[in-house]
Amino acid sequence: MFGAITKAYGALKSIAVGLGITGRAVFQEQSTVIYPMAEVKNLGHYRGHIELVGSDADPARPRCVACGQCMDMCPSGCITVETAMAPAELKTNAFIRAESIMGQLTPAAHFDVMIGEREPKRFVLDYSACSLCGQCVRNCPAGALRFSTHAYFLSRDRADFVLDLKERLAGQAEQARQAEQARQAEQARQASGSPQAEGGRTHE
Amino acid sequence: MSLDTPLLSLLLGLAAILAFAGANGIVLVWVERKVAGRCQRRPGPLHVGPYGLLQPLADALKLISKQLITPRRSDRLLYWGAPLLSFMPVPICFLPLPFLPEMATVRLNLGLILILSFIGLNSISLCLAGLGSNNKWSLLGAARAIAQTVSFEIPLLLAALTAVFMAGSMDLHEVMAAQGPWPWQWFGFMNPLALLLFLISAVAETNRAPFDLPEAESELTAGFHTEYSGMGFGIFFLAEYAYILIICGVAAALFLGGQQGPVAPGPWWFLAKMYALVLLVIQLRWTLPRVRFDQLLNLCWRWMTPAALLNILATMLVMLALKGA
Ligand code: SF4
Ligand code: SF4
Repeated sequence: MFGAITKAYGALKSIAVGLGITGRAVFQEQSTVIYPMAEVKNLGHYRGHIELVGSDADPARPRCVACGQCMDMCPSGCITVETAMAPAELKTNAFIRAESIMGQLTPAAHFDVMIGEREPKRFVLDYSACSLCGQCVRNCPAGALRFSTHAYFLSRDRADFVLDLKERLAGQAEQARQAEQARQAEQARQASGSPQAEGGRTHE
Repeated sequence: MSLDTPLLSLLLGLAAILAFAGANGIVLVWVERKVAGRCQRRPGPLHVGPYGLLQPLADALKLISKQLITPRRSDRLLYWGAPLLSFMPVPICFLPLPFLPEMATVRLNLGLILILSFIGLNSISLCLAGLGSNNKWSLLGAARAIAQTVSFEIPLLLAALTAVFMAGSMDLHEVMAAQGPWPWQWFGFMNPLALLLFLISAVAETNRAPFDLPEAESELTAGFHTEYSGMGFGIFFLAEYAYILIICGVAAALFLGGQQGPVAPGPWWFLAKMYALVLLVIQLRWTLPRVRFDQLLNLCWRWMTPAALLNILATMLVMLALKGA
């Protein structure tokens, strides 16, 4: 009898605790972010379509050495690289080794590419066929590819998913340059103590 | 034609009850989804109308406009009779509920019995739906519905009987009158065990989570209403919310003093208590996981029925002692 009462008490107590938890949740901040009204802030984890990485010297110019490995590796055949000779002043005497995935049983085939000798004239990704497998990113010898955080990418037209990544990189570099300029101007204003400083803050 | 004509007032009353039940169904669906959302830290319906208020209307429109499909080799009569049978008792059950001041309602000296017996029809309709659908999930759902309602009706009635003993009447108005305006004068506080047993069996009786075994989406697809499309399902849904409201109304009248309240007693107290209980039932659904079937029956037969019997016995003894004193 006494055991039964303690058991019933325990059950009722656990129900009360549960109701307390859900009851508190009602008044807590919501975890869901509803897209058009707000955006999530953890896009760093997002693996969108691939994009080119800018070189250290000139962020508008891709690191790509136009070796064509990504084109060969891509199981979906969605990368097209057209090459051209790079401007003479970029030429170095350094080489990087491009390994071919062909040699899974046999030793991997490889060849060396001179850095700065050639560059992609056009770098086109057909995102509509991409399976996001990552082979291109993993096998690029120059580290010139990565996944973008381009999450809000919608279109009704399939043609919009054919992306010229080189153009995109140039656009990104331009945007980054403008943002940096704005930031510096802001800093300068704040340093000079102008009253405008507060209002000039950009929306997050 | 004057308003006193019995036929006319009957029709008007019926229309009013049906409108109330329908409006309640729609509002409660919204409340349910909002509470569900907030309990899980989501916003719930948001986009149709202000705060998503019109979402249930949109859903209702969708349900109404859907094609009614009768499964092949199902029993047409049982299959389409079941949703109607499930909703039919609703107007009758609303009659004895003390929504209005005493003069304006139908006085039934056995109001409680009327409600509780007609609510029992719902389990028959679930059974018919399961039988008529010619689908094994539906059949399992029907079997569960019967076992569950037959079991939980006993503690439900025993708990209700406790309050009836304390008041000495089955007329809900008189039960309310026997309680005082202050919370400690309500039967639910004089006899909390009875209130508790009543609420648990009420949740089980209306097939709400954590006792929603006849539906049990994760096990039986949708249980007894797996095969129903459009308004066939819609009527079951409407009836479910109507029964929740009715049983919470009964609990409010029996155990929480009904229209009695510390200030300005009146029907609004009854409504407030009823909707508070409805909210509790809704929140319970989003708090507790579904019980297993053996747990459900064990709970009823090994815990609640003996507790209800002991409680009613103890209540009688105390009442005798008080009378003797
Ligand atoms: S991620 Fe895979 S499919 Fe997409 S472009 Fe790279 S290699 Fe091709
Ligand atoms: S593998 Fe890298 S370096 Fe080679 S073409 Fe592709 S992006 Fe350029």
